[in-house]
Amino acid sequence: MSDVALAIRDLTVEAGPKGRSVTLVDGVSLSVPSGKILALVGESGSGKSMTALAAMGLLEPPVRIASGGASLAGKAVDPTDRRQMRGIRGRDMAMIFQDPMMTLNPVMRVDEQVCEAVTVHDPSVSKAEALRRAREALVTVGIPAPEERLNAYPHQLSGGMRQRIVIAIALINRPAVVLAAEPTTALDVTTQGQILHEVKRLCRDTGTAMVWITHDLAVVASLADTIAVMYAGRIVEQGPADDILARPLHPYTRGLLDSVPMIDTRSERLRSIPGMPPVAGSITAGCRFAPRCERAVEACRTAEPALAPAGNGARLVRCIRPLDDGGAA
Amino acid sequence: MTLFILRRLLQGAQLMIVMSIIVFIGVYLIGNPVDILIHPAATQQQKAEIIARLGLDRPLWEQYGQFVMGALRGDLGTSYVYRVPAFGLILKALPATMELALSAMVIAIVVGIPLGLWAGYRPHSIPAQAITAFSILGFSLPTFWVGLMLIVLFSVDLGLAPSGGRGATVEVFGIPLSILTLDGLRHLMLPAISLALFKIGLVIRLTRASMQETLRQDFVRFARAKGVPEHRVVVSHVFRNILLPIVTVVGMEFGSLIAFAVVTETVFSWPGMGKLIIDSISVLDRPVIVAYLMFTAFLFVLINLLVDVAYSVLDPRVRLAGR
Ligand SMILES: Nc1ncnc2c1ncn2[C@@H]1O[C@H](COP(=O)(O)OP(=O)(O)OP(=O)(O)O)[C@@H](O)[C@H]1O
Ligand SMILES: [Mg+2]
Repeated sequence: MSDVALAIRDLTVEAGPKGRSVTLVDGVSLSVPSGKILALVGESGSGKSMTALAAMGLLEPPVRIASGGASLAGKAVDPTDRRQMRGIRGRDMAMIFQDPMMTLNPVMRVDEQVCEAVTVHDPSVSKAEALRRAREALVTVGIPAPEERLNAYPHQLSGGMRQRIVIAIALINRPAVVLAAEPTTALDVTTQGQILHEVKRLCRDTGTAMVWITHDLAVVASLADTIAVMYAGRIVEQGPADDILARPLHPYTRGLLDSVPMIDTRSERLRSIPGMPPVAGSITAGCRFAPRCERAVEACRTAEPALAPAGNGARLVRCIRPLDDGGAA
Repeated sequence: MTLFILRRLLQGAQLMIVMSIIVFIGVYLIGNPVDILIHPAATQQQKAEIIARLGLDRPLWEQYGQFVMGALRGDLGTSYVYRVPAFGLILKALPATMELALSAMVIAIVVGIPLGLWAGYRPHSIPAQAITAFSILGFSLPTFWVGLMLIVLFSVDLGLAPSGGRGATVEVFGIPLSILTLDGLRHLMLPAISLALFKIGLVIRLTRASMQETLRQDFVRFARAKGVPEHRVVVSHVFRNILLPIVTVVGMEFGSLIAFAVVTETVFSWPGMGKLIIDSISVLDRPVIVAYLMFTAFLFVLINLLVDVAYSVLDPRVRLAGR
């Protein structure tokens, strides 16, 4: 496929000293086509953020990439190559963080922070031209009086406004892909809805692909084209969003869906998945979810299943006893 | 802003009043200057005359009242020893102390900030650990000992610098300065370094800690995600944030530099306020002691005010009440 915006192949992320390191992300492969949104879901600690930071080349010691590669708009990139990544970040590949209150520099005016995203990649751009692009970018994300916002300091703006500015900065160089780590969870529901709506429109209009990291399956339902479910550093299920939400194959996905209140829910009560995810480094043989899985049999505890095609072939699942009808476990 | 400054000045005035009472009682308790001032061979009559002339026969509260009346007219008393206004003596010694304290401050900033930034950026590297060790040393070595060691090493053994005095000075707007002559600079070098050492340690530790803390912030990560080169991340994103605590602490510490100068000036016979006050204490020259302490308190009030104003200018989030 030539219009794959971002592909991550066999990414493994480790932390800690060599020899005694723990694996935080284990052989993860993902791909997002241009203009599409991939939701990366999973409980806290499953390795979603690490996957995104690794792809951006933004891991900080002691966390590091042990193996794996990526390609961006068809070209191979090496996330461990600091020089190459410096040029790519913010230009071809952007990232948005969770808390808009913390993402903008408190002592720099907004205009400087927006223009900087342009000028660090193209120093030949004049200040006036950078400002013009900054205004345009703010208008694109639905900010009405851009001039006023540009002259403000972050603390003078609301959370929703700040997150729009952050998104404008991420999109200003028309990157092939944006990695978004739960950028709306810190906002109120109305603002969240507006921003999600605009993000979706922007992706479609500009052909920018997006990886949306979240716990929130309600967001996923309204936003994502495809879903990848992570558990303990592994992808356990992957496929088209509608299919997975309607008919999850992995018992873990089912568990996630059951623990979320949704308008069109089919289960009468909320259920949480019993137990806790394994701590990185204490992973045992067999399926990583087996200790918490109601459907686990002896075979589940001896060998870890591979991520194998399922259903009509568009879906992948890592389970030897998948829920074939999506029914209750 | 104006309101803020007015309020702070009012607070400062209150502080000065309290300070003057404490100082007056404190100085009274140190000892009776009469025993030192009057020649042992003086007759009882002469003694009584001198005591009456200095007003020392009056009760303490009356002496204090006279001091306050004088102070309000700008007269902080007359030195028992030099027989000139005490405040004039202090003003005469002020340039030497200011020159010393400012030099030490500049050294602390110029040396401390880059080292601190480096140590905070790569805290596990060997140079960073050496810098941290150095800062602990600067922190824990007593100033007088450092001064003596510098004299032993550079003046006595190597003969590179004189061990005392101000050297040749040049007058700039009527203020004598050592730093502008080669001889003066050689005299200034050792006391300034000795006085700066503690502050270098302080600035390194502060810069290092702020750097480490700021590097963990999301906005630093976001700057990197924008593709901002690493040197710019440090200089324009991190440094602009940590400038605030540095300005605050360094500014506040300037007052204590002037206070610490007492020790350094004594060790290096630097003719500043510190040396004046030590000499005055040894002969119980009360007016000079009182004038010095009041003046130092005033400097602290002034410095704190300036630091607060600087802080509000640097940090867009701070808006001083009333602006
Ligand atoms: N420096 C480190 N050393 C060892 N383990 C770490 C380190 N930093 C993070 N981890 C671990 O990495 C795992 C994956 O973290 P990650 O932030 O990717 O999870 P996440 O899926 O994004 O969770 P959340 O939804 O809470 O953001 C977690 O279990 C975390 O404890
Ligand atoms: Mg995360």
